[in-house]
Amino acid sequence: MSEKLLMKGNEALGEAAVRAGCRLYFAYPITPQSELPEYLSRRMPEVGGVFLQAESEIAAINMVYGASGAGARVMTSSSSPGISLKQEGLSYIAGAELPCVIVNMARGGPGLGSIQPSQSDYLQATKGGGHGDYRLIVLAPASVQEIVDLTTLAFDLADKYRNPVMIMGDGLLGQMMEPVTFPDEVKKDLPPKPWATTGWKKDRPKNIINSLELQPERLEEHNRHLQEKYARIAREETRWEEYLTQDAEVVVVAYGTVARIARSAVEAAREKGIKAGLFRPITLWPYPYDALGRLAETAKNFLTVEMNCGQMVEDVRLAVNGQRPVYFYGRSGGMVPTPEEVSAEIEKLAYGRCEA
Amino acid sequence: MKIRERIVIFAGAFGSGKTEIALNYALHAARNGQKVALVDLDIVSPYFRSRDMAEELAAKGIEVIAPAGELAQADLPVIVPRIHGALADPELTVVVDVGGDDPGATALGQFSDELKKQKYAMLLVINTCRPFTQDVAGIAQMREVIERATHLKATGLIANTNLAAETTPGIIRTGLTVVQEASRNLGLPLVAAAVRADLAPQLEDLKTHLFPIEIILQPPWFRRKVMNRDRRAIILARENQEKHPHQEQE
Repeated sequence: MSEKLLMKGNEALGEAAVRAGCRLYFAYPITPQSELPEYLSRRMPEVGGVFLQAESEIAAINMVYGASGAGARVMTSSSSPGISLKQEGLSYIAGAELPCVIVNMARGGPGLGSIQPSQSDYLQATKGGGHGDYRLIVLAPASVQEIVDLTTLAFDLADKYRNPVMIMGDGLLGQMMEPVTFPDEVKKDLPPKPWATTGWKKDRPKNIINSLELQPERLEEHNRHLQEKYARIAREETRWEEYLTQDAEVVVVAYGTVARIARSAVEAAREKGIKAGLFRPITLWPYPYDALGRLAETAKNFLTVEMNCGQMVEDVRLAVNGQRPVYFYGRSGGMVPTPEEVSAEIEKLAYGRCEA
Repeated sequence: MKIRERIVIFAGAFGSGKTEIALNYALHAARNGQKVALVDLDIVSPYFRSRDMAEELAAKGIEVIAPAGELAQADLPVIVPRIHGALADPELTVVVDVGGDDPGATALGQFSDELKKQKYAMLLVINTCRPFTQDVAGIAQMREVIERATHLKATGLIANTNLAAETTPGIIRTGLTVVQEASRNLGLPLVAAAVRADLAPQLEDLKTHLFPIEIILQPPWFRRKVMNRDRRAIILARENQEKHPHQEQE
């Protein structure tokens, strides 16, 4: 590990991508992730890589399609409205089974919204914002160091499963500064990609990358193959973190930035003698349904806290499956819940709710 | 920190701590009875800006000059005309919080003719834990691009080496050595070392002038001070969890 630096989440993500062997980055600027193109515009030339500012988000995601098809480690990034523009490309990339990393430092929506942080792209990321039966692996870091760790992981998972991986942050995570260390070695021996279109020299069957399949039998077969892959990812790659859940009567479920706030609230509740705990999904897809569902054996209530009007709460309800009540507290539009607000919600559940 | 000039500009690399130091200096000057205006000239950072503290500063008699209303929350390069008035007012101590690196500092360039007619201090804030200012060469390059973008000459350096919550006196000492070397090489005086107020007592042996600061712009989960809390219940619950792990992660 190198010595510690103080970095913004957006910058740290850029450096982690470089160290993961990413040499191609295509993007279009948008607040609050513009430090990432800014950082990589300086860093990519130093390592012989390329940052190309595309003419649009749609162009950028299709450049990713091309570069990934040629076997490169490649990344694009944006914030909510720009991620919406990329959805068609994401569906094509998932259909063609191309590995790549997409970063969303989400901001308030819908529409052009605000430039303040938000988690209101959860359903778009986890349930498929584009068309067709496909899945993105979605990783949700909660600190600048975890951004670094999960960026490294994102490139590896993308190659391992030939699948697009999204890093789902929010503006606050992208903008805040924390100490980080990076892995020392820049990855050199990347996994072989025999399927890549690297130029045909009559030494192998032709590689063709395509998401068009006109024969319904064959498209159904392709879909079955994809579903088997998704099931394997769900079995092998589901990640989460638990904090003080062992004896928790109130389990707060939150991811990313909000998990940091919820952790403060859980600690405040513990100081008052309330048995509160935190369940933090790290992979938003695959979602840790089983691990969360198991907590219903000991917990009395679940409280989902999000920076949106209630999106992940649907998955929490699926996980808890009616065994215990699931409540929701959210702020939206770029408003960030405070630890005090979350504490108040925990106390309501611990001491009995006043309202029906 | 005593700065003779009425106009004090804090510039430097992106994320070097200019805003925290500008906020602290504005409060420090106001406490010393000066009439203070703080110019938020940072048009590149969307979050953690001095304008976010406008109400709190106004309550202490400090005027914050920044885009008004919803424009304060826009990612637009808005420069308000009041800046000209403030720079020309001989009664006013003007603190200028500049955006990072040359893209951020460009906004200051349009005021260079006005500033050259006056006495001003332009201080480069340096955190040697930031990726592009870890050594003298990086600091020299930062100075060059900022002077070119602003058409102004830097007049001094402020050492601000820190790792946020993980800052130790040792980290501050190591960083200070680099900034002292930069000061000699660049021919710019080291005006002060900014240090978190709670660490200052452990650094009194330093020959450099210390500027103790309070960290003002924090993410929401830092709002409660850890040191004032009774954490026994948390420690107990943690120990229980370690004894009986519910589920191995991953």
